[in-house]
Amino acid sequence: MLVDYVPSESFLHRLDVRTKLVWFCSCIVAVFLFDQPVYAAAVLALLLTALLLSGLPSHGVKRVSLMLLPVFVILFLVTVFSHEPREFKDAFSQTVILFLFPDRVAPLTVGGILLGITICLRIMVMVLASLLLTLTTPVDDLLQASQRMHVPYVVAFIVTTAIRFIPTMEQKATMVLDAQRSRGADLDSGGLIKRIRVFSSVLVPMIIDSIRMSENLAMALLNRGFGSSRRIVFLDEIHMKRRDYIALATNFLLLAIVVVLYFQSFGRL
Amino acid sequence: MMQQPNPNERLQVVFEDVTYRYPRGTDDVLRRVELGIRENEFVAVVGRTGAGKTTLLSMVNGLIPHFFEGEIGGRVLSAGIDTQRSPATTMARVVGMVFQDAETQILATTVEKDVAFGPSNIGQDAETMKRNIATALERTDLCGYERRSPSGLSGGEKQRVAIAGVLAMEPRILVLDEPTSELDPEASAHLFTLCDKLCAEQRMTLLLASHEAERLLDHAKRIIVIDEGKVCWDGNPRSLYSDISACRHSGISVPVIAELMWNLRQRGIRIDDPIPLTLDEAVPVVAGLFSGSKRNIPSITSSAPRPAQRRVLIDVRNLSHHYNGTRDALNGVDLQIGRGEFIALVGKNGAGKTTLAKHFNGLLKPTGGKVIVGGRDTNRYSIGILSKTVGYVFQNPDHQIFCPSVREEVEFGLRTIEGLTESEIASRTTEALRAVGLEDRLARHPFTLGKGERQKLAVASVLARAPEVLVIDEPTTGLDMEGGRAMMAMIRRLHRDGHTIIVITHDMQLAADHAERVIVLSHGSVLADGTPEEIFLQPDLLCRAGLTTPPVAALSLALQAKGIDLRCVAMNRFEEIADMQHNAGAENAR
Repeated sequence: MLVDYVPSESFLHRLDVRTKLVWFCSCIVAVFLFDQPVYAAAVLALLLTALLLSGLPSHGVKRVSLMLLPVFVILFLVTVFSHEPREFKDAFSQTVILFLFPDRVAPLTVGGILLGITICLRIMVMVLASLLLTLTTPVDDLLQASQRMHVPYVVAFIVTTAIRFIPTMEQKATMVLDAQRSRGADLDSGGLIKRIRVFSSVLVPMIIDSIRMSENLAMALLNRGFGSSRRIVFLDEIHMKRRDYIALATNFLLLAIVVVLYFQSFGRL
Repeated sequence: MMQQPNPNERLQVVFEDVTYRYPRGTDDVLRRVELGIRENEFVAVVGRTGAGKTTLLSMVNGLIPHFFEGEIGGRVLSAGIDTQRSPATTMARVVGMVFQDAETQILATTVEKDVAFGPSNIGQDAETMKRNIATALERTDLCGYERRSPSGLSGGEKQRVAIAGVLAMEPRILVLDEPTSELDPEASAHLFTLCDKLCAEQRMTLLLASHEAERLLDHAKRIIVIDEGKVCWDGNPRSLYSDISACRHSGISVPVIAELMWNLRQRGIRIDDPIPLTLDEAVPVVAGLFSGSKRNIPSITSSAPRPAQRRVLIDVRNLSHHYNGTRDALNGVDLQIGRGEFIALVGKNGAGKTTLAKHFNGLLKPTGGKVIVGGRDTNRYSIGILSKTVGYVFQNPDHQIFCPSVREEVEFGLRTIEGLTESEIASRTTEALRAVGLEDRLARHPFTLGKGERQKLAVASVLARAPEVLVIDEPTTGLDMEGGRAMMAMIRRLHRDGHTIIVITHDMQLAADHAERVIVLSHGSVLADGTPEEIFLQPDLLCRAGLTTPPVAALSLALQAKGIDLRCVAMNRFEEIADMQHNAGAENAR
């Protein structure tokens, strides 16, 4: 499963959920400040190191990257050919390598290529940062953090329960798909109407099953005393520890450097 | 046969003249139910599907009327609290309820946090909470599971997490609604042992609905039979199962040995009261029938032709399969399946039964070796083509039913075949529905059918595509006794009509009763392949595969130890042999 929590005792697991959220946001901000790929690559390298050091399985990352490969290719091609040389400040970036069409239409610039790489790297950073967060943080911690941030418990509960049920729905989808394909449903070909019909053969059982599941869930909630007390006691109260303060200090230091670099006009194209 | 509660003991659950009707319902689901259940009692509730078991159980913890409204007459008291007057959240502290579907009862992403969910809702302090969680995990044999993620757990483990989740709220009464119906036999046995312990050591009151007669005979202290919303029997399991005709009348399952003994009696063979219900009781009685005339025992030869004599339809050669990043699910499987065979695929959970079967219609492709179906290498043909030869019926019919009428549901599979005219589609639809016995349900909405009929509809929708082979995954799971019988009768009929049948099952007696050939899988390999007699009379082999000997085979083995060699594993075959023996004995006497 892609977003399922992987229990472990690595340093990422032991960090407080709030520390991780701050890091998560910082990484995203950092990659959007700079257009030069080196910066996004540095953030990506940082995240990959964290992934390897925490001993998390890397096949999830590989799977997601493969799934996103077509997106990367399309985004890259579109970016590369959609920028005029004058959009770039730097002389090197303005260099035109070739024109896709005659009459100087759709120029391929060095800047365009660099920007294309940056955009793909940004997406990778966002994907990897989200994966690191969900793989190392129990949903219940997110629930607690959101309560500390004064998000109503019920709202937070709905969100976390939805996350909890993603793997379940994935399994259900496989079962329904197997059943329909076994009686000849072809999900990859045919005209529009045929496709809608085949699609509904998967969607309808899934929806009906979800309704049945949500009713069961509601009964289970009632049965577990949900809503009986306003005060929710959590099993492990989340605590900021020394390592969290160190991690946060490091984060703010790096972020300060990033901001300074940005205002010194580093990383522009 | 009504049991009068001893007034000296405190009653934990009391039903006083309870009648209930669901909102917009036309009939009462419960009718004038009177019950008293003592502390420390392990009570089973049985009855056919729709008899009102779940309704009865839902009243104990106040789900009715707090979740399901409706018209209620009478009064239900749980641990002295009126369930209608107290809010559901108060009831949750005294009555813990566990449902059939474990998946929707687990709400957190680790076992420990899930068990903590109830206690944290009712505002236990952290100290008490930690203690209660530890105790609950210990009582459900889940020590060491604290940090595990629920999605990696087996069905049995999930169900135990669900029980731990309610135990942590320290209820006095535990209500379980068919908790084992989706579990394999091993997990189910484990669960019943847990229940025994909770009852004996914690003095909890247990109410449990189940179809598993053998286990109820062993574990329950009292059984309540519900039929059409009425309590029609209430007493100890032994006396209930001594009267099989009454059990059949209420549509409940009965222990195999008890049924066998009853059937023998019906055939005019003298079996004295008390009628044997368990293996140990049956052995001396049956041994008595065969004593003195050992030579007369008819020889048993399997009448089923061996696969070699039949045209091979599915040829599995050195098949291996591994899913992404995990160990081999299948490893070097060699297998030939001939036309017209009736095969049971058995093995414990994770042995590779479903993985193997999914190769037959191309849902899975080999990662090593090959599978040839009707002369076609599955690597080179799509599932659309292969599924015309091999139809696959999945366990849960609700994972495929999506049309507003029975007719359209069956037609869906037909419309995927090109070149069929409307009249052909119509005639094949009727034919398929007739084969499963649903021809008069053509215009009905599938979800107005009972579970057993929906299962049959799923079979029909696969059958309409006229596959030579039918793979049926757990045909009787979730069905009551009558539904299960009807399903198996239908499968036998399809087999007689020339279909090759492959049944995947956990029910060893079902395999012994119906299959001509049994394939035992263990750790992704074929451990044994033979006639039911060859397989089920080898306890060591079954043990290695993690399976148990089915009751009739166990009886045969026990008789064998006494020098009576019947080599019989199927119930009706056993009856026939005993009958012949009886008649021969009668003639000798004459």
